Amino acid sequence: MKGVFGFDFGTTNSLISFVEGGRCISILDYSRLPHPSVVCYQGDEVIVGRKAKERLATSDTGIIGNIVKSPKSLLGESKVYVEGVSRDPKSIVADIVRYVREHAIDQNSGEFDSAVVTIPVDMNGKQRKELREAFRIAGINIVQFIHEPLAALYGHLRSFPNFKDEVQKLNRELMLVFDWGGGTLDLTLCQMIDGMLVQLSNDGSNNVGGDVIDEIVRNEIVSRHLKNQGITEDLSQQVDATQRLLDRAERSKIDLSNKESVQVFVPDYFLTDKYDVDIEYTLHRDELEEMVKDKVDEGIRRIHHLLEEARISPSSISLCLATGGMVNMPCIKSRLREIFGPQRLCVSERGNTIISEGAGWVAHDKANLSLAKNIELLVAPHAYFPVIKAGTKMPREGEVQCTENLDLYCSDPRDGFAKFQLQSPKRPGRTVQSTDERNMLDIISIHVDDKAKPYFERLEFKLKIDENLILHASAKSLVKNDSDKLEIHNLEFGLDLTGTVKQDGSLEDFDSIDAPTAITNGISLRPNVTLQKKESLIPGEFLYSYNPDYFDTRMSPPEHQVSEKLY
Amino acid sequence: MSTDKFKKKTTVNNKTTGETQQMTSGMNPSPNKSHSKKHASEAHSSKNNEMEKEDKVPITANEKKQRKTKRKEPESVEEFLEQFFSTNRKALPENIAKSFNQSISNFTFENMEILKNCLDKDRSLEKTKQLLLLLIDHKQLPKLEKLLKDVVKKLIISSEVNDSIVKEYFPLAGQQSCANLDDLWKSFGLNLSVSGSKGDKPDPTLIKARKNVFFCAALWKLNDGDLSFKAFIEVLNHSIFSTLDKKEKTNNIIIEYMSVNLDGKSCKSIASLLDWFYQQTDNLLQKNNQLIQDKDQFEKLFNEHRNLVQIKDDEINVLKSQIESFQLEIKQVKEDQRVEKIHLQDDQRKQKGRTLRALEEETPMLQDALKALGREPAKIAVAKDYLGRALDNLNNELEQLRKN
Repeated sequence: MKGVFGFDFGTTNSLISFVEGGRCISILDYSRLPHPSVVCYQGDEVIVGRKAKERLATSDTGIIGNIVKSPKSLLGESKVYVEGVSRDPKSIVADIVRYVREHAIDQNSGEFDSAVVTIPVDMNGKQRKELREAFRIAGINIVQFIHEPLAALYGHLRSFPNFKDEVQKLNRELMLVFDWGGGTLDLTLCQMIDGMLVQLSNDGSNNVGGDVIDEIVRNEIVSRHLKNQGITEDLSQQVDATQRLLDRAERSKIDLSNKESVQVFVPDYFLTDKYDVDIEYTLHRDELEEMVKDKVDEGIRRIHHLLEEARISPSSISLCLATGGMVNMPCIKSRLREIFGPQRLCVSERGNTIISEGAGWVAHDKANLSLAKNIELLVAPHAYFPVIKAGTKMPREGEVQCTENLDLYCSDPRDGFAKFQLQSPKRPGRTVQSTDERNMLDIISIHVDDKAKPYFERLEFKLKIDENLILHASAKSLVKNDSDKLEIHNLEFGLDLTGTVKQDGSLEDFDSIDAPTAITNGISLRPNVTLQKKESLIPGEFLYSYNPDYFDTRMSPPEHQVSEKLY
Repeated sequence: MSTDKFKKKTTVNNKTTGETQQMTSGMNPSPNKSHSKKHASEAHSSKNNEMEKEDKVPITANEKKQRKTKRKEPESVEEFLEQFFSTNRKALPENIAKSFNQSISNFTFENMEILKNCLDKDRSLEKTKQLLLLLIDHKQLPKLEKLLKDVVKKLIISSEVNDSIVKEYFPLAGQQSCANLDDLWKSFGLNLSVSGSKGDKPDPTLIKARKNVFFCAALWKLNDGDLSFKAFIEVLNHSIFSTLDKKEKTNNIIIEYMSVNLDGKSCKSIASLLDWFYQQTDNLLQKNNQLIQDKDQFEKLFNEHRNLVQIKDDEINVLKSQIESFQLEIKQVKEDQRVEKIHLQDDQRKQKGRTLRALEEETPMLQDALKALGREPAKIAVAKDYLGRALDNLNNELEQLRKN
């Protein structure tokens, strides 16, 4: 293997993929399955992957005894205790990453030291930073992050021989990535906008993962068996009985996709002399579907919920990419087919590997992560200045994407504060209307001289995005000499599929967006920073104290300022 | 310069300067060593006889006829002069010269008619110059020398070159010469290019006459002992020889003058020197020829080899480009093989994993089926179901294996 590879560090499983000779190769474990993201600390020994998972008898995540399952969810915490031993979550993650990397090196010659790594949509900046450090401890530099649903879609589209045509075909179309795996259900609504694959919204649940459903089936089988046998008392179980029953339940689940009923038989399940020690139950498909119905309904409900939130009907979805182990269940497949129809539903046969493959292809194609939505500064009055534009290429490892520093004026310093309000339109893409709804990202407030005239105090404002996709904003007042800064971790990104998206990020002329526009969402603070000295931007009552002539009716002063003057 | 070229040059010279014919024929340098030696010794032993030898000079039919009828020897100086200027007589046999010498009582030549005839036949004063050369050869006969010198002087003074400076240089008896060669040459130098009486074009006969006058003046001084031989040569080099064409310029002229002006002893030395000179010249010429041949051969070889090298270079370049393309092909093949190997490994691992997983899944099923059969009473339904499912799965895997 040469160059950068893809690494899917999933909640349930972890996997490395790389592209060689036009084929994406996934390095699975010896059972041809991804490595479970499980680590077990036994004395000095660190057991990772399938052997660690085999020691688990529950679908719970986090720390279970000396076992840590899905350590990714622990990132952000300073330290955790595993069987009483204090451990750094980064080192736990690093243990899994190192194991997967060493296995890859063992299987394929190569260095495996630079990767494009998948992350969940909701992973914040701090977690991304810690994930990068954990990978660095394990000997891998993260060249770029890529969100899991985007990676899945890219992996799916890239498997087509006419990839570019597919991308063209899906331009402006809506797509749903439906990832129902062992641990979680993740739903992501995406759209292809001018060659950039962006996420519009996402939803998910931790309660309907495949492991949870397997556990429900297992418990149901036990209780129904006991009921059939007329046993009412609690019976203790053999040590490995739970795992064996889980395996049988999972196998039954698979076999019931072709059969009407199967026998579930687990010998020596109970530790008892009084009753039959075996579990023996005939499980029908209807029964199974009844057992999991609530969970399946919940999962399907998430789809409707997501689409309703986005005000999109299922018929608007051009492609539903279903991945993960659960989507092969006949009842789930049929429900998805009911919603999207067989033409628009694509159940990936490579559900276990498609996200990793997508990351591998992103690494191979050097596809860039781009900012999905403009980052705007609200300038007085009612105007948005796009400081960083959608489509701006996000920095790779070691890079820092800087914008130009803004020199601003304080138009109304009477309350002693200059307020910098950062916003982002709800609609992704570069083309945004002033009437579009906005989400407020954050506000920086700094002290200014409250006795100063309008436009007397100068303000400096800087924005930059680092390799962990964290936006750093800082502001400084030059008279009062006050400064403040903040970090924004929840930026939204898209994947540039064509490489044609402009990457300049240059500032747009302020004049072009100068016209006052209606604001549909509530603004709690009245912004008082501007880029240009214009009297029309100063509140009327304040301006009147400095320039009464401005309000001479012959000069036709703006109506809103005349009204403000009355205060 | 090759010997042939040298020869050719000499011949040209003979043609252009009629007075040197006999000398050049006698001392013609030859690439043949023995030939040159022979000529050198001849030059040393019998200069006068040599001068009489005319067999090497191109001879016309009339001349051949005249030769057949024995030429009448002159009985007086006047006759000799008439013959000298009218015919091709170029020498005065020694016995006749001696008899003339004895008969001479007056050292001035008074027969102006003869002088006038001579001048008419010798406008260019070529014969006059030859006469001066001849009389110098007869130094041992002072009376004859004196008389002939007087003839020469009068001929020059009476010639068309009647500049005043000439008269100063060749004063009549009893007068002292008060001019020098530089002044004479300067005056001639100015006049050499002056147009003749015929028009704008300079009269070549007059120019030749002036040159001969100057030559006679220089030779006069040499004969009188007023000029060393070295100075004489220098004077000629800076004057007459500088006006000659390149092809006229040859050491033979000098040699010619040397041979007629030097006494026996000097001639011996000069002959030895010339002998050595010709030997050296021959050697050098041979070497030069050899070098030229070698050079030509080398150039030919060099060109052949250069062409060969060029051809080989072209071949090398073709081979190099072939090697490069082969290397690229090899690189590509290696890369393809590496990729193919990885793909095959992947296929193999996938297949192995599938089979392994099927076996790993079915083995516990079969074990459980066995356990079910081992129960009391045997759980036949369970065993049948498990065995059936295990078999179905294994059959599927077998089918997959066969397909792949």
